Amino acid sequence: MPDNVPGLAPLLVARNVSKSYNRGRWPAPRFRITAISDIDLTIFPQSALALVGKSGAGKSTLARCLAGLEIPDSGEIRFHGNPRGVQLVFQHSATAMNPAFPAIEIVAEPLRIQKISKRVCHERALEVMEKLGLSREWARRSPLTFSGGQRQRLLLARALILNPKVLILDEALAGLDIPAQLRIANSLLELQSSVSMIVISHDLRMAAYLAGQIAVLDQGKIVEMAPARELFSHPQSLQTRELIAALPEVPEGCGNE
Amino acid sequence: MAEGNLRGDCQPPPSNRSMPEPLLHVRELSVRHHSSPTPSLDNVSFHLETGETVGLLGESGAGKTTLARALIRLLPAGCRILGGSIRLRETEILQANERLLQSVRGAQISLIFQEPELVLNPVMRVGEQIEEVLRAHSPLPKRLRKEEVQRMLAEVGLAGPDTYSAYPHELSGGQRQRIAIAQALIARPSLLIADEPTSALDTVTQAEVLQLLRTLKERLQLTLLFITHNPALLTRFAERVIVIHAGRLVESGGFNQIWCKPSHPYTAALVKAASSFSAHA
Repeated sequence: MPDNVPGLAPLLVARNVSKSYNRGRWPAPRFRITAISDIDLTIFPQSALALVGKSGAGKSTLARCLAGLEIPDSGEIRFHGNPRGVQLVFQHSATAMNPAFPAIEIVAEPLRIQKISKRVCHERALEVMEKLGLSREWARRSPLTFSGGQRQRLLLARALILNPKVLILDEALAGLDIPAQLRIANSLLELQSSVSMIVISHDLRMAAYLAGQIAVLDQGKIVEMAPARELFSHPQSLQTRELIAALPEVPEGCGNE
Repeated sequence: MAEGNLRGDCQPPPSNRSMPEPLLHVRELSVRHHSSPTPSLDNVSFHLETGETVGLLGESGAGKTTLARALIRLLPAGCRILGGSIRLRETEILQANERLLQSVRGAQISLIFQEPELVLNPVMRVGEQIEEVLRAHSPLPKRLRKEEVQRMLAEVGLAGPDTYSAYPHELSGGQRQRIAIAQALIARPSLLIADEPTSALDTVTQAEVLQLLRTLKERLQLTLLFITHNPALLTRFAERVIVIHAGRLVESGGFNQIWCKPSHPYTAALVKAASSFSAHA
């Protein structure tokens, strides 16, 4: 998995991106908090970058800016192509879909709203669902009858039906059981030959599993960026060391086969 | 509740550790939800010894939370206990009336959840919420109760005059979980059931809360039932692990045995998944 192949044209570029919000409601004084400041990122085709940090580090704000859902205060984000080419998937799958829609409609919706014929949409939806390990026979079922992991796959299918160039996963696997996380993570690895990914997580292990390159965020700034292996073997910043120290220790030498 | 350690009694309390009697003994517990043809808990039997830390491991839907709630008879509507026995020392929980149950909950068995927001009142100061629990279980005058709450806030790492009068929304997720822990422990229960207490927290906060639970367990001599789907969290923490799958106990043993030589294929799959992520670290 080449992560920074020189010579390849970058897909998505962020330069000096900053974003702050107003906080504080009457009678407390209003103040501004800086969510992210001076972020520089480049996403190449067929690469995966992980953004890692504690809650409140600015990961989700950055994701929303990159996906075009939030306009940065300053700096610029350049993406070559249709804005639909950047898709965002979040954590809470249950709240991200209409429970009255059958599964296939949920997946097909992004195409349907573009006035594409129902038959074409449904065909394409079934294709994507199968690719993600969701059986055709489940197409008419309500998402409420799906498990958390299956619902997360539905959301991924809905994002992938648009053939995005960049897929942003904002804690998309958090909240799932470990085996479900692993199964979906493996599906994602297979997809990486056709779509670039930005994986947002507070979990360094998950980040290293899915992405070759890891950026550590703290208080809105990228404090360290390195290939996963290097980050673990030679962490430079305090924040990275803190994240590594927080990983649950597991016994070595067994449980692997 | 018998008060131990009368004045002049110099025997250290762990004297009964050489001959531990189970604090909690669950036998053949079965629970069914009316909408489901199969029981949510099927003939579950296990025991917890005083001072032990036991991990309850299983996937979502396995019945972990149903079991936790059954132990203090707080099952959601639609769930019925079909049979079995839950003995907490001399008390049979399944036979207890509501009055007795109220004196057990919080004072002998406490529960903390994945989302502390579920147990915290959003429009009440957190110190008062902790004090409320103490008021229900202890005849202390208000001034002493307040001191006790301050002491407990310090125990959970939230010392400082501001925390007492803070509202839940003014605190971070990790701080709110600490408040829920303080609330669960203020009436000094002997058994704490922690149901995925760190799953909604980021890894750094998760490590802090786990460390806090370890410390409090020692200091307050708690028995701890730690419920999780992630076997890695039980490393160097749980002395024993019981594994639940589809409402049944499928395996139990020491942590190392569960991790290194799981006998049930389901346990093996859980451990394998947990270690594949770690292999990259």
